Amino acid sequence: MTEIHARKRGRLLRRIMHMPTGRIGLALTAAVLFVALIGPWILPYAPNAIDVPSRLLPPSLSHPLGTDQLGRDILARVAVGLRVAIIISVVAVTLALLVGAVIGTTAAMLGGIADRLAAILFDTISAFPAVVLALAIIALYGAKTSNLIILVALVFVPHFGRIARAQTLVLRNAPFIAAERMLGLSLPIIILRHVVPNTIGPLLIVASMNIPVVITIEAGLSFLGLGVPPPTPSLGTLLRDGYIYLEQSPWPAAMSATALAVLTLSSTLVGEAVRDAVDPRIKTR
Amino acid sequence: MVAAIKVRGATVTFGTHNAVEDVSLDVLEGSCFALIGGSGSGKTTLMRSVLGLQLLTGGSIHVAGIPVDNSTDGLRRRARLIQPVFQDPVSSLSPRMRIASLFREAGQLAGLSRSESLDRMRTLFDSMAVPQALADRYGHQISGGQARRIVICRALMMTPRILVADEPTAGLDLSAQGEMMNLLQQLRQEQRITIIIVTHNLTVARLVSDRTGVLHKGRLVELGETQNVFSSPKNDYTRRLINAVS
Amino acid sequence: MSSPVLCAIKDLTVEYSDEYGTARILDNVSLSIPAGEIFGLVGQSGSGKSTLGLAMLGLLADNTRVVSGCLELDGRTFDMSNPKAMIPLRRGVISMIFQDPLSALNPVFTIGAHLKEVLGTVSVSMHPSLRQPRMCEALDAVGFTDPVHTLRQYPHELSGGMRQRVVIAMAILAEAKLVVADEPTTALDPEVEQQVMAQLVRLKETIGCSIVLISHSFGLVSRLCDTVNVMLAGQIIERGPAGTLLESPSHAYTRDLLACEVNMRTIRSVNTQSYRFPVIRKTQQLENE
Repeated sequence: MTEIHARKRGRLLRRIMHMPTGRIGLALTAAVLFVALIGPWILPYAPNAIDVPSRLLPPSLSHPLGTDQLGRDILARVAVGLRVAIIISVVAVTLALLVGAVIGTTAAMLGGIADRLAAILFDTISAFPAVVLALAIIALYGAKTSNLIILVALVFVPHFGRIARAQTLVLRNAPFIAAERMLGLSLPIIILRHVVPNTIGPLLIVASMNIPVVITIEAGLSFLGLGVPPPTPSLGTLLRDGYIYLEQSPWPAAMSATALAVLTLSSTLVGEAVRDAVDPRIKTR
Repeated sequence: MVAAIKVRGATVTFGTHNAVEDVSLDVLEGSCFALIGGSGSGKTTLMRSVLGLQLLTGGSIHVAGIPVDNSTDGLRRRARLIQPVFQDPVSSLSPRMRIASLFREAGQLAGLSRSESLDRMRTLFDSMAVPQALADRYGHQISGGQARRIVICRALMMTPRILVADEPTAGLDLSAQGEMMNLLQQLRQEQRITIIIVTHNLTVARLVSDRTGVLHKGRLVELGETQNVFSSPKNDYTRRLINAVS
Repeated sequence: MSSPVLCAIKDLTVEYSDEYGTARILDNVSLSIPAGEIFGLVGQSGSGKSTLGLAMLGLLADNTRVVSGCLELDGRTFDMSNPKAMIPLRRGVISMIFQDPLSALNPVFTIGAHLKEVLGTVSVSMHPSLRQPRMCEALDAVGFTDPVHTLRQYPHELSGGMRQRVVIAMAILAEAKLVVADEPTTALDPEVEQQVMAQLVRLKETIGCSIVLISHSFGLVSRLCDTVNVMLAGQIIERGPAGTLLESPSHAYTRDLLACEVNMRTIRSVNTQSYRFPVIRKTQQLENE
């Protein structure tokens, strides 16, 4: 089983590398990941080290991206901000995928009332505007990173759930599922061994395309003060701080905006490249 | 002769529509039974009910004396008695599993160890003229004809007494149809397996089945020895069907 | 006595490529279809008969290409290796009836919408008020008893046989010169098969077209066709009037194909336990090439 996955991954990677968007996306992502993951270890300044005399300095050799209003090194803060964005988006999307897929797949296999309830659940969640839901949850449970992740995951559960449900409804009537039933295989094992591997494809593609969306949502909420609480720097909070002190120095805002743009762009390019690489374009009879 | 399958008053209702209505028939052990009908006749629903994939709204079905239901327990118990051979062989194989893995899985359900499963698979492949190398492939990497044989081999892993073939000749040219039917005939003769073919191909039904049942709009309109059904049909619909192919 | 040639195909070669290599599906195939005839193409799966039909309309899949070949119809010549050149043929000159009645019609459009589209393409100058009666006429010709109601129905409300008849009605409206029918009744019940085949014959008589009937069943083809062509591995290995081929086939493969046909009427008593069907062994096929 692992062999075919490895072979498929290899082919997928090769196809992504074939596309200019894929190459740029992967390169940018590699750069971003380097800064985000390795950065905090090798950078000289701590992200929260306050140094008021050096406030709002333009980029220099010692502070490549300048300093913010409290003299903190922007590069160090951006590095942490990137890491926060990546972790939150990956965790939230994975959580949404798992929860959505489990509910959607199981409900579709069981059929009847379970299926109807799942459909109603998905419709209910997606009926709430994301921001209103965010405000409600933050107001009730406080602005913590874990709440942020749960919130975002919740918003995306219907997205994955519907896809998983639709795929499973199609697969349910496939002869091979009936054949496995006739061999005496139990429903949970049929779902895990035969349904999930055949429905995971579109889910992974959608997941990769949702990561930039989540990054933007997290940055937006943090910008509004509803996201990651201080002192942890988020790209959103960096942007907000830079915005407040824009007249005194354009650098904090410009640098954090650029970082956010690069992160979003790189993940979007990779997401679209994955989608295009898996697209069955060859028509065969 | 023992009745391998007893159907009594089987009815399957979807909403207000009776897909199968009050059907009663016996399939004798070691015989070949042809269930004939056009699309919409209810033959597929009846077949699924016999297999235990479709719950009856009314009536009962017994396979080797065991009542048929659609619970996992029931299916497991009957897996060593009755197995299906569906119309589309490639779609009958789980797409992301290697064929050898599928046979290991079947063997495990038949109570065999890993190595025993693979041994049985190899023996079955030999008896069905399937190249051993195909075990490492996936369903979509093999031809339709080979897939057909492999699907039968997989069914035989459970050493069933009854095989239910759903439209075994559909979509095949005449020579391929012949090959498929000869395979089933071989199984019948060598292993005394009871065969049920669900089909709209009257010629095939005439040539291999001992008894025939004709379904029309969910009701069993004709039932009897194949020879009699074809030479002197009692029902008008049957007569029309036979005339259409003569 | 021979009718004028409606359509001729010369030296058609088609290749198929995938990750494992290239294969030749059709090998320098030439044929001529007389006007007003039902032209039969018989062969097993993989003989290339369906590909031939699709090539005539320029409807081959992306990984299948025409290496060479030209189609002559109505005094005009079409280069089959150029997909764009084949487009005018699909506009009302050649129609196709596919094997699968389930996917021949678009599920979100009514039957009326389908028929209207055909009229819109081939009879652009027809006045809108004339369309409805024309469409009803066509549906009536194929045996629909309430055409007005049928026009409002959706494909899923019709059975397979009815859908094939709708497709035949579309060919009537298109006033096609040539209709390619690829296994039109294989997916249908035996009763319905008779009806649809009768409609095809009526089609030929109504609009004076020629029909290319592609099938794996020699029985079906010989009952309806004037000429029969036997295909094997991308070539036509034997051709002739249906009667001649049935009585005295010259090629061994044709004899083998005929041997696979079982006529219900000739079955008297059979030992159902020991009966074995005649098959064509793969080695036989290769030897016969």
